[in-house]
Formats: sequence, C-alpha cells, structure tokens
Amino acid sequence: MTQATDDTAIRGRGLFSAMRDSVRLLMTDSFAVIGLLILGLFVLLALIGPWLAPYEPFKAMMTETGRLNRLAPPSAEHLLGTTAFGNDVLSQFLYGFRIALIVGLVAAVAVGFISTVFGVLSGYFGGYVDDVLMRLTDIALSIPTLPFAIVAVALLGPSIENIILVITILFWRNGARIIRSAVLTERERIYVKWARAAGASHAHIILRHILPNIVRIVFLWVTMSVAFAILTEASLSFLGLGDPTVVSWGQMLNIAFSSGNLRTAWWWVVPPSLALVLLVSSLYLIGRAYEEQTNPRLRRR
Amino acid sequence: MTGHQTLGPAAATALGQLNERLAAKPAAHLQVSGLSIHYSTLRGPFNAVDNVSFEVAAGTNLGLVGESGCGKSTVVKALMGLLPEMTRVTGQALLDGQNILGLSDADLQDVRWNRISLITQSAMNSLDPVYCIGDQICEAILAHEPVGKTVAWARAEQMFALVGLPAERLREFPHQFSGGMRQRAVIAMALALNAGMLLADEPTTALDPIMQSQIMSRIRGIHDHMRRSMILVTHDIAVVAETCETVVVMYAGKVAESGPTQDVLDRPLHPYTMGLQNAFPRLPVRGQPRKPLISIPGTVPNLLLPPAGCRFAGRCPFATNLCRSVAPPTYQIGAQSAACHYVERASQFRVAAAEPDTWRSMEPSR
Amino acid sequence: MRAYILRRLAQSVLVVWAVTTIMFFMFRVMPADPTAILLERGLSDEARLALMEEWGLTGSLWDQYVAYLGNIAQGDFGNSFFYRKPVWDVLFPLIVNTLWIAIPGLLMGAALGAAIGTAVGWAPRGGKLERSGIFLATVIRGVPNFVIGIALLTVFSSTLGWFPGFGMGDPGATTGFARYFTLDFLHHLALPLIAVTIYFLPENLLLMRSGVVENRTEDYIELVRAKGVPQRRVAWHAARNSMLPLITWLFPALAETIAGIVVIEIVFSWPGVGRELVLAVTRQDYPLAQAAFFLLAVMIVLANLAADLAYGKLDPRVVYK
Repeated sequence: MTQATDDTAIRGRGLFSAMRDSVRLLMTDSFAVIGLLILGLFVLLALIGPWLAPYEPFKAMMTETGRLNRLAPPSAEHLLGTTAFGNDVLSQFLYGFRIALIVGLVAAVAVGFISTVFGVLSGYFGGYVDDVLMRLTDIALSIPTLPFAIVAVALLGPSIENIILVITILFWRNGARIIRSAVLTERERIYVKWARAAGASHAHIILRHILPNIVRIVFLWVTMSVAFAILTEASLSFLGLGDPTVVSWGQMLNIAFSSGNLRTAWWWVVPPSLALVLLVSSLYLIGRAYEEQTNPRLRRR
Repeated sequence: MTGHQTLGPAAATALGQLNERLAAKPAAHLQVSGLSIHYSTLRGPFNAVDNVSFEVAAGTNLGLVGESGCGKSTVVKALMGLLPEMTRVTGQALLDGQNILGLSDADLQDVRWNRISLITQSAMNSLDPVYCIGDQICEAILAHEPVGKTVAWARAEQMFALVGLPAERLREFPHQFSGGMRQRAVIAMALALNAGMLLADEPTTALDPIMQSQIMSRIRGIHDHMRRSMILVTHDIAVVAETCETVVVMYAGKVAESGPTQDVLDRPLHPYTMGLQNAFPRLPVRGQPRKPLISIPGTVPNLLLPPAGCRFAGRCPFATNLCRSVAPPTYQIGAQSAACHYVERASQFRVAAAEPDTWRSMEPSR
Repeated sequence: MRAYILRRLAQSVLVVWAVTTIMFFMFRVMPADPTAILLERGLSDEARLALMEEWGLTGSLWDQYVAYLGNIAQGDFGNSFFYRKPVWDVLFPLIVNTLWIAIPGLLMGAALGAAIGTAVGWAPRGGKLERSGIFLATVIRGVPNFVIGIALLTVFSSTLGWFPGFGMGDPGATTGFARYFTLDFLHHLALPLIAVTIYFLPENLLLMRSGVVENRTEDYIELVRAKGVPQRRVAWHAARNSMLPLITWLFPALAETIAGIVVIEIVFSWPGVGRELVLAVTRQDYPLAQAAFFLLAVMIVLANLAADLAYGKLDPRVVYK
C-alpha cells in the first residue's frame, strides 16, 4: 500500500461525489432510465399542469341549454369529458399531478431525513439508543399501516398536511431499520477503523465514510417512500378520507366509484388510474435498479 | 449391513440387483486432447485453459497439480459440463470413446454421476443446507436407477458404511456435520452409482492436516477396493506421489509438464515442477540433511493479458530473453513431456533449484 | 421449542399492549374533546355523565388509561353507536370474511409469485424472459390495489357480467356458516380473491427471483447439477433455498395485505373487518373503529408469530431458543 492510497482511505470521499456515482450507475440500467423519463414528465406536468388546465377543477360545466353538463364523453370542448357533477376531467386530472408530487416529495424528504438520522445514530453509536430504537420499530412494524392512517386521518381531520404527517409517522420505521443495518456493516470496515485510529472525529467518519457508502440505500429507501406515500394518499382519498379542498387522483376515482359510474364513464376512470400506475411503477423501476446495485450478489459478473 | 434387516424381501432383491448392476460398471478411460476454455468477461476474453491434453487409463489415477488459479478446477468443471453459459470450450474429451464436451442437457444427464462423478472442492458449501444428507444421496441414485426410495436409501446406508459414517446420520442435515464428516458424505455421494470415472477436485483443501491425511487414505482405500479411474486435483504434490500413477502439472492454464508420477517427481524437467516440489514438506530421509521449504516468489500472471512467451518466465529463475518472447513447444523425453525451452538443461536446473538462494534472487526483480 | 413459543407469545402480548396504548392516545388525546368521540352526541347531561363514569372518562389521564386497559383486558370495547349493540357482536362474524380473502389470496399470490419468480430467476441473465418478467412484475407492483379492483370490477362484473361485484351473496342466499360452502359464495369470492392475489404476486415474484439468482451460483447447486438430475429439479433446489427469505418477508407482507385488503373490501363491498373500519370511521362510530383497528393489529401480530414458526420448519438450521 502506498502513502497516497492510505490518505484517501482515511479522508473518505464527499457525499456529493458518491451521489453522482450513484446516479451515473442508475443511468446504465435501462429500466431505471424509463422510470426516470416518466418521472421527469410527471414533474414537468406537476409544474405546468395548472396552467394547462382549461377550466377550474371544481367548476360546474353547463350546456347551452343551461343544464349541468353531466358525464359528457370526450369532445373538443372537454378533451376528457366531464364528471357526474359536470366538472372537467382533464382539468381535475392535470391538477392531480401537483398533489401527487407534493405528497411524494414532502413525505420522501421527511421520511428520508428521519430514517437516515435514526438509522445512522442507531447503527453507528449502537448501545442504548440502538436498543430503544429497535424495540420501537418492532412495535411500529406491528401497526397495520392503512388502518392506522384511516383512523389517524379521521381523528386529525382530512387535510393534506395531516395525511403527510401520518405517512411520515408510518414509514420512517422501515427505512431506519434498513439504513441501520447498512451502517452496521460500514462501521466495521477497515478504513473506518484506520480513520478512527488516525484521529478522525465521529462527524467526519459519518459524513465522509458512512454516508457516502450508504447513499444508494438511502436513495433506494427515499424512492420507495415516495411510492408508498403516493399510494397511501391515493388509498385514503379513494376511501373518501382525502383532503376535500384539493383534487387528487384517488379522490377522482372515489367519486367515480361511489357515484356508480365506473363502467360508463371510462374517460373519468382511466386517466387517474393510468397516471397512478405510471407514477408508482416508474418509482419502483428506479428503486429496483438501486436494489440491484446495493446487493452485490445480484450483480452480473 | 445395517439396512438389510428393515428391508422387505422384494426391496432386498432389488437392492441386490442394483448393487450387482452397479458393480458391473467398468472403469472408464478418458482421453482429453487440445482442451481450451475461454470465459468472456466484461473486460474481454479470458483464456483459462489453453490446449491441455492428457489421458487417464482405465483403473488408474491421474494427479492434476498446480497453484490456485491455474485452471485445474476449470478442467474438471468442463468435463462435468458445469461451466457457466458464457464459456467457449474447444477440444475433445473422449470418455470410453465418446466426446463428452458440448453435449446437450439430456445427454449430459446420462453422463453425470452415472459415468463421471465428482468429489467437490469445498464440501462445506456443496451440500444443500435444507435437505438431509440421505435425501441428497438418494436424489442422485433415483435420477439414474429405476429403484424406489427405500432401495436408494439402503444403498446410501451402504455408502455411508463404506466411508465410515453411521447409517442413522443420513437423516441429519449438513450443518450438523463436521467438516471431515461432510467431506466423507460427499465421497459417499460420489460413490453411490459407482461411476467409472471419479473427479476429486481438491477434496481435502478445506480440512485440517490430520483430517486431510485421513480422507486421502480413505480415498486411496476405496480406490484400491473399487478400481475406478480417478482424476485427483490438488496443489499438494506429496499427495500425488502417494496416490497417482500419472501426473499433469498445470501452470496458468497450460500443461507445464506431464508423465508417470515417479519419473516426474524424480527427474522434473520443468522449473515450475521443481519449484512446486520445494514448496511442500517432505519426510526427511535418514542420513540426508532436511530440505528447506522454498516458496516460488510472485504470483500466477493475469490471464486477461497473458505474457508473450513462457507463462512461467516471470517467476522462473532460469528464464532468458527467449523464454520471455517465444512460447515454448512441448518436448517429449521418454514417457515425460515438458513445455520448456531448456529441457536438456533440466539436470543442471534441478541442482540449482534445490538451493533457496536461486529462488530468493528472483524476489526484488518484480 | 416450548420456551421459544412462550417467549414469542410474551413478546406478542407486549406488542398488543403497545398498540392499545397507541390507540388510547389516538382516540383520547388527539381530538379536542375526547368525550365527544367516545360518547354519542345528543345525550342528556345526566346520561352523559353516567356513561362517562362507566367508560372511565372521568379523572386524570392516568386513571383513564388504567380504566381503559382494564376494559380491554376484559375484551370490553363498548357498544357500537351505529348498530346499538356490543362491538364484538358486529365484528366477530366479519373476521371470517376478511380471512376468507386474506389467507387464500396471500397463499395464491405467494405460490404463483414463487413459481414464476423461480422461472424468471433461473432464466439466462439478461435474456428476454428475465427482462420482461422483471419489467412486468415491477409495473404490476406499482398498480394501486383499488385500481386492480376497479379494473376487475369493470371488466369481469359490469361489462362481461361473469362475476358479481358486490357483497358476499345474492339476496336470499343461504346465511350462517353454511353459506361459505355454497357456489354462490365462491362466485362472489372470485373477484376479491383475484384482486388480493394480483396485489401480492409481483412482490413475491421479485423476491423469489432475487433469491434464485443469488442461490444459483452457490456451490451446492453445482453439485446438484453434477448429479445429473433434470434441470427442473436443480431449479427446485435453488427455489427451495430462496423460500426462507420469502417467509421472513411474508411477515411484514401480511401486515401489508391486511392493510391493503381494506381497500379491496371497499371496492367489492366485501363485508370484512377493514370495510367496517372505514364505515365506522365515516359514521364516527368510534368504539367500533377502535375495536376494528385493534382486531386488525392482533391479526398482524398473530400472523407474525405464525411466520416465525413456519420459518423454523423450512430451515433446519434454525434452533428455537
């Protein structure tokens, strides 16, 4: 071993370069690229969706004769037809992008942050913190997720903030556990011991040695959290527990379903269903690539 | 034997017939010629085995010797058809006259275990952890012989007795066995169908020295008793001396030297063979000074970028410019053959090779 | 073995206690006026006070907590506001209904997923079968379960009319326990069961595929191949060893199914515990909601226990301590 390699081993590497590497690896997986493209399109639509929407999402459309324009099939005026309450489907659909992305993004940041902090603290320092955290996740894992969300949202009141709060409470636990075990393996690596011996501080080791090496696992978990968050919000909205003041795809489906128009009004049902499937699938496609990267036994030789 | 009392008369007859049928199998003859194996890797083709030829006469043992990474195990895997899909195998391996390289899956099924069986390198991991040993032995018997589970189990009991394991332990799982017992179980499995050819791929590497000699003497005992043909892959030249009639020394995917064991060990022609001999402890001969252990400096070259000339040149104390630029042809001297430009100077080399200084001088010049 | 089961049981009791405590805080501390939630509105002040006494809603939070635990330990969750009878009378018949779609659905999803996953994992790396298998499984995994339900409902019930899409039996059908053995019941069971199966299948498939890919390069697989057994049999060895992680996974998965089944029960109007929970919540029938939530949590704890015990059966290396 020469002096130079010793030095890099002790200095570790930057978090950002590790992230860049991880993203670069992602681009070699064609499924992940498909996922990223779809996701990119969705983000774009979330940003510009409200401007593209031809009408207010909750505005009741009237026919020329002054009656409510209910369940109109797609036409030049209403590209995706109207709902049973005379709302323009396309407009609601376009507004839905923003809600899905907000829920996913906020929940991911919150879950990702909490999971990482708990996982790293628990895995790196071990001892008492670790014991408490592990017992806590044991219990948390026995809580039925959606039923908990249903009860909690019903008690707290159905607003988008409460839904995100509940999602965060629910999903930090899995991530913390996974990140903890990754940290445990990293902690035992020889270069971490060298760095300790060379007098590096805990903060230095966590930031330069541990985090850069678990970046893929954190990314994997964040991707999965976005998917879970979107699915949970959609399920709650579908069950009629969504925020009534905003339009989400789950809520559109709930109204279509509860008003008994599933079969006839395909234009009302298909767009939100398809968007949910595409969005969640694209996240899973990205997540799968990270899974494949983090498990050396799955890598091709 | 223990199993017989519990067998019904019909099963006992069936077992008798099975044993007779299996005992009637002749020892196999194997002629390998021009065997080359290329792996394709992400960084280009990898020539793991290059133009290897040897012959195993029926009922004899052949030792395949060399350091790790020399391609010995690859040869064994090629003979069993166990190489990964991305591998190109050329050359011939005639088992009793039939080429067994490149067979279809269905044809391979008949060759495997029926005609060639395998004693694996690491018995630690080569047993399925979730099945009891008896089931794993029976699986091999049932795949090839038209008998029922009871008869197969009785045969497995007999094989266990042969390797000195109690029959009731057939019901146990691999993790309940010690390393030595697992190795014996693997041997019992390899003998289950009395295949004409046994491939023993470093059967003792994972064991401690005492267990190694126990297992080797058991393999020798079984061999004397059953007269099968065998290829014994090992890096221990002393084991070959005790066990095999012929020896093939491989280096970096090529045959360095081959011939009758006695000749090769008494009068090695290739400097690599000389080096290997130095590297293993020998019993001291009374009246002679104890020979020091000398290891060969350096490592096997990277076969992604094989050296131009002789593959051993980089580590050979006698190498010249010729060695480094031109690959040596194979010279035949009596029953022996060696791939070295300077076979005629072998007797000189042998004297020099016995001196530790000859090899030590190599070290700084890496 | 017995000691192990006892210890696991003790652990389970602990988890149930934790869940009840969480429930206590959710129902009494989160909302502004806890009495409003646990007592019906429109009662006279006297009746209200009497009920509060009975329910242990008076006194400090600690006293309330002790009274609450006491009630739960006796299995007393009170009366449903909506049905006006003890919550257990409402919920008990529904447990079987939920299990009818949860357990067969889980098993079918696991079995089919494992079978296809083995085929995908055993296929050549980077080949057509592997890539399309992974792609389809990942995409189907991303389909929300209510979308699966809606699609099945629209296609097979509303459009083709092959299956009923509502409830557990036609009006006037057999009732009581005998109903579970009628053709009519199975006819109604089909779609929700398929929905649960589809919901479960992809994750099992992907997990099994990873397991088989990991196992196929192990030494013992090489020896099995060398034995000259048919390919199918070799793949079986890899599959059999991959089942162990599948079983460990089934444990959080069961929680997920029971959670996911809530939505499927709603889509198909299947009278199960999950659907009742949603109905109770929307009707503000909190005693019933609380009991249904408790019941779902207990079902998950029991499922975890079962998974642990099954693991030992499948892996001879596991020693119960």
